[in-house]
Amino acid sequence: MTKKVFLSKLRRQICKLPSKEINERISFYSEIIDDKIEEGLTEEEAVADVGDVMQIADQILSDSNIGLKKKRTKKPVSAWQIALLVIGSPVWFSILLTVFAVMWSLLITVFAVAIPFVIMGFIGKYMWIVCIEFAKLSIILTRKCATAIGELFGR
Amino acid sequence: MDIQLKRGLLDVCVLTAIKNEPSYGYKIIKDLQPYVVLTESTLYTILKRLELGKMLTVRSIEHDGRLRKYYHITKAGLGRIEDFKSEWKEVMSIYRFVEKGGL
Repeated sequence: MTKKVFLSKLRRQICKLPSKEINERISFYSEIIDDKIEEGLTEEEAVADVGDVMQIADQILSDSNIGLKKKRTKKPVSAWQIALLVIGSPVWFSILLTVFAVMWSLLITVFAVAIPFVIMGFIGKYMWIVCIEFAKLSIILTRKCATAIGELFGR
Repeated sequence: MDIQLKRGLLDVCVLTAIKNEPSYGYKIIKDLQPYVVLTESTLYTILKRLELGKMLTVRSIEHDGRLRKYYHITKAGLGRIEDFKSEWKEVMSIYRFVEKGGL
């Protein structure tokens, strides 16, 4: 088998992998076959020395099951993104916590400011009624006093 | 052999193979042949892992009208070898204990 045939067979067997990995794998084998030829093997011997294509493909596929999972999911989440998410968790978790804390404290502040106003408003409303009642009472009392005094002196 | 242990051993073997001078895939396999037999696929996986771990860097250099990837060890890679050596002293003392069959 020529190197070209070997590599194209291998490429077909590992086509499930991400294209970047396929190209890297292929160039890795290409380089090693070239090095074997440079050492004195014929192209045929060099390819045979690398081993059976199917076995190699099986090993590659089992070695890079991360890559396979990546292809299966519709929206691929790379291992790097997951790693970043996990490694960065102390950072984003605390940021999230801070945002939550700030939002809650703002809410509490608004309530803390609003509630006295409401209370004062109610007190204000009733104070007015209380004042009028007092005024009425004092008028009545004054009248009563006046009539009482009038009666006293009128007699 | 335990997979984790074997993986650690292979990582250090490959790092040692590129420790004194940068090397390339085929040469690494040949140099390690007397100690451990690596298939190309296994070597690729190890090199990838070491690259991701920043234990080595890859540089493509033109050789004989084609590109050949040379693997250069990093400071972290050298540190990994040193860690292995100091860890191994502990492992050896455990080994001696196990071989002796107890106290």
